[in-house]
Amino acid sequence: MGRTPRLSRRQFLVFSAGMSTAAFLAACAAPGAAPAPAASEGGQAAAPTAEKVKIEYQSREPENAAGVQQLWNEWYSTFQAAHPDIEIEFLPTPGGNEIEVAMTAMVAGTATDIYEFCCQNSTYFIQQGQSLNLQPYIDKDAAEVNIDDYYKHQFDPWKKDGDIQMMPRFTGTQLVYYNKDWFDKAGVPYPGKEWGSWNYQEYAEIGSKFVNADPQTWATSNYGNGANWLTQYWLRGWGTHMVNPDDSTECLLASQEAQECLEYLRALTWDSKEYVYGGSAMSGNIGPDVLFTSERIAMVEIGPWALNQVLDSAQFKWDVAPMPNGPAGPTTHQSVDGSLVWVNSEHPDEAWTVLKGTTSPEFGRLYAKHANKQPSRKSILAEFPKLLRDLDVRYNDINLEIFIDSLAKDIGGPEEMFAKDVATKSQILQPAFDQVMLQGTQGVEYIGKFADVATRYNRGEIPDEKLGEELQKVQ
Amino acid sequence: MTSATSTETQAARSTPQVKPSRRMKQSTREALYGYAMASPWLAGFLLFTLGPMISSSIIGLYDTNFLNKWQWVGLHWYQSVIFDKLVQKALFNTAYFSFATVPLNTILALLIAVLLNQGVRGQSFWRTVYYLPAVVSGVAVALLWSWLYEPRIGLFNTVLRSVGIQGPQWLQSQSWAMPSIIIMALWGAGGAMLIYLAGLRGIPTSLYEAAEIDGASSLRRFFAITLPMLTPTIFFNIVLNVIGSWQVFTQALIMTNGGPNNATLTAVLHLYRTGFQQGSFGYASAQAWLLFMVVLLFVLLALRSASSWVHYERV
Amino acid sequence: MAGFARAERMHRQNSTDLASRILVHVAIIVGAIIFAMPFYWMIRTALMPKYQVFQFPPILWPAELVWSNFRDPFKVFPFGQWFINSGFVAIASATGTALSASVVGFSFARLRFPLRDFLFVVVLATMILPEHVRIIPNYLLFTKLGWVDTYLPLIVPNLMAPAFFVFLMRQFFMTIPKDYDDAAYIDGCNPFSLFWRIHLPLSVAAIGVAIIFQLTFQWNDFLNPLIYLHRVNEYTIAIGLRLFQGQLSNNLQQLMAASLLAILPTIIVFFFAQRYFVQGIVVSGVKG
Repeated sequence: MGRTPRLSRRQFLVFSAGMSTAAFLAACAAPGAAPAPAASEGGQAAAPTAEKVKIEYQSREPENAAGVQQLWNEWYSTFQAAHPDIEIEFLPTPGGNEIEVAMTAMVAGTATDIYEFCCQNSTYFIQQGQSLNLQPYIDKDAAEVNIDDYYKHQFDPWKKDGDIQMMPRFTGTQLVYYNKDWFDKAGVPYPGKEWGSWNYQEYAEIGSKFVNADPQTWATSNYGNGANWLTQYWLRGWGTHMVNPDDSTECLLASQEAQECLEYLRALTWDSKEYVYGGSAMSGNIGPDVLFTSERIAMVEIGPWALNQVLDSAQFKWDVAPMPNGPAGPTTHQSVDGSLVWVNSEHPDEAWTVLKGTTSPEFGRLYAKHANKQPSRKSILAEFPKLLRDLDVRYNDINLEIFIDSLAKDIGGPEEMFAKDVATKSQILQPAFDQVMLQGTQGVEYIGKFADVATRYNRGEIPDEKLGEELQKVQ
Repeated sequence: MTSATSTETQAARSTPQVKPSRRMKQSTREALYGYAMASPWLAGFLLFTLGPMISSSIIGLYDTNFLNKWQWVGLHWYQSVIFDKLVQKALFNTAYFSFATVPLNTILALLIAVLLNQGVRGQSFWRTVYYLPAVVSGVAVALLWSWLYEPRIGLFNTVLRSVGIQGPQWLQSQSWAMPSIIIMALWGAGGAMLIYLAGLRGIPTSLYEAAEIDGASSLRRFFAITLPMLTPTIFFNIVLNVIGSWQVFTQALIMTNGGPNNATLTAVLHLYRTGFQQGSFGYASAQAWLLFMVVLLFVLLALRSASSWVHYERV
Repeated sequence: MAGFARAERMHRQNSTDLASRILVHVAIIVGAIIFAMPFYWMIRTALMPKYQVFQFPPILWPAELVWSNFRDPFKVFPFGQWFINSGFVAIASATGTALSASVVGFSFARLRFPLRDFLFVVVLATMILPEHVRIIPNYLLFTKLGWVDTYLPLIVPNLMAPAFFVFLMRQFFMTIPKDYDDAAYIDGCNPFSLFWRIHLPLSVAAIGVAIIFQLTFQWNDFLNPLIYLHRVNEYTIAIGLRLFQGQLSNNLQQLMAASLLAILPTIIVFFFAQRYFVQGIVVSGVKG
């Protein structure tokens, strides 16, 4: 029979006893760990904070969570002094699964009062009716909110039946970062400092000087030309759009301007080989800023969020330039990141007060200081270069004024959203873009063939379960 | 199932002398013990699993986003999901992944376990090395690998280039994307290896001693003793691998987001998009239940086949 | 004569054994290098300044090690607390799993009761339905129970014999010779004492695997803690790490550093615990 089973059993018992003891000790050592059912559910009902209203604020700032925590600490004390009746619980949350986290809580009725969302998630929750209509509040506090202090298209993606549902926290203007050393070496003059100082043809012409086989280098990159904002800003340079601005069910990719624009981008990647497919999921998930700082590309199209990284990493002289003009004029992308009040918040008025605080000029300044965010308000955007230069003198050499100009002149716009955005982009258009831009196996007219499917799908003429069939007909 | 039948026949064989009346009593007692000892699972199942499972199937009868839309659609989703070409595409991709991963993973894990079981020096170290990849969490692994696969500056193509081979475009290529994800999945074979190692430990050494006296070669010993004795463990790994591989998700979401050109659109990724991204939870539930039926079919087939190749103790 | 022939056979065997042993070692080492390669890349990256990460030709080992990639995260966040939280969840889950799953697994492997085979299929079936359609119903259930923002949703289901481990333990109990059962019953054992005195000691390896697996699962689990825990102090290490990783791809070296840090305890536990379950017990001389 088995050798000394008795001993082994004792070993097991000792082991599991040890484990349980450890678990018990850990439970005692962790104050937050002791399971305390029901304490959380009632929230303010259980807590003896009779006159104070508690607002839960879910923050999503993965790019600089530490900086935002510091910003919050600094700002919260001044807010509390002004509003002793409101207590805010600040709940930072990791990025990546915002929908799951918010959905579960919203369905269960335990969601936080304020949520920070970006991009497709904003659209999603607005469409699902989870945002409090902020328009009455904005109208009531018109002077304080000063909606004209934001650029023209800021609120485009956040409107529902014409009413604003979200307030902006910061923006991000897409620019061209370029390697001055490489420009010097190639004897190419630097791009101009003003918006409109160069165009797409010059961009391609200059870019061709940097294409090399061994070691392999390219002219430029971005996160990859997909069915998303990265193609959209170029399309606007050709005077057209991916989504009709007046009718979010219509896809305009079959228009002649769109086809010309797409052909420009395709040729840049596949004919002149100037464009290297950037940090998309399919090409290593490596951010194009990294390609830039590791000297594989001469230029990169990216927003202000890369400033810090490039400043710390680049071992060469660099600067930022405006996006080149398309045939129809200057263009760029203005990313918008904002906050909404949950529609079922028990304290919408207080939540609005908090929201006014986090969209105030003071907050914007602190945002720039602690997290280097580009302010949304034009009035403080002018201070942005100085705020950054106070943090790091190396910014003195960088043409940060470009950021101010683009918004002051209302150049560019935020991401264009379809009525049924996720399915349209990921299911209908992206596979076509994959073949044309990523793999170079189809011409641009192939993308155009899907524009009609996209439109009919968004108009409800194709139900979800028939989409695959319709796509097969076009493929 | 079949495995159970074999135990039953054994049991019947091993206690033939017991009188019918006493046997009745003992079988009742055994059944009581059986339920009592299975009760932790039963309780957990009734409390935490059954409810959500039933409600997810009911949700499939509605057109709902869980928030402000609840529209009864009856069996509409369940009917249309079968003919949805995108769902079919996703199921096909997942089948590709599953049919490649399950056998490859089984063979690889078994091979490593058997090699490590040969009494090599520094076993603890080698075991740890092979098990390590299974420890790293999904997202970090997915990001790490998508970067190793980067066609121009990734590690793999850099190494290949240094020996004069032009590497494939990996995740960027429609035909290589799925193989890339499969190769990555094999890197995590350490988990299955560990189970095999534990299984190998359970093989009575007396069997080997007897074989050695008979002069059986080590290869023969492997096929005559090790492999048959390991079949319950192999069976376990295969069934779990089948279940797990049909749910492949994180890699497809992070590494390729289903692309390029839907080459890695997996069943769970598609239903995740339908539910959480498009807010159509009813249809997502119907997709989940279709997937459930497909996988259940494979699991039942595996259970049915077990009697012909899984060696349960029948001394 | 017979003795001589036998000795000669042994000798022949020894020399082929030597050759095969060398072969085995070579295979193990080559395999280990392949398996460790991505890992090496991870460590290399974790110790690099950002600008070197993608330099060409690739830098195999950074000349100057940047330990701050490891240090930086500690400055702002309660890392120690996160480790304790994760440890608590993982240890409680693993202990509960090992105990409950072995009892249940034994019952499915060795005891006959009505509907057993059907229930076993149910055990497997619970693993088949993708979790994404259960997230919201589960959350509603745990909200009703008042368990949100506690560790109970992460631990309690694991105390109730998770299907994976029931199946694992059942398969192992199936391999234990039936003779043992008969002998034990004749000695007057009841099914529970048969389990406790005979089967459990013989299954230490399987229990060890179950514990290691559950420790790893729970330590790495991301989605559940993220959904059920909302306060930074309550976080487990898996979600805590993600808090500052941001645009993950922009910060690969920090991501790698943090991931290495997070798995370190699991690796250490595995390295030292493995002898208890893989080497610790040798079921020798089982006479059929």
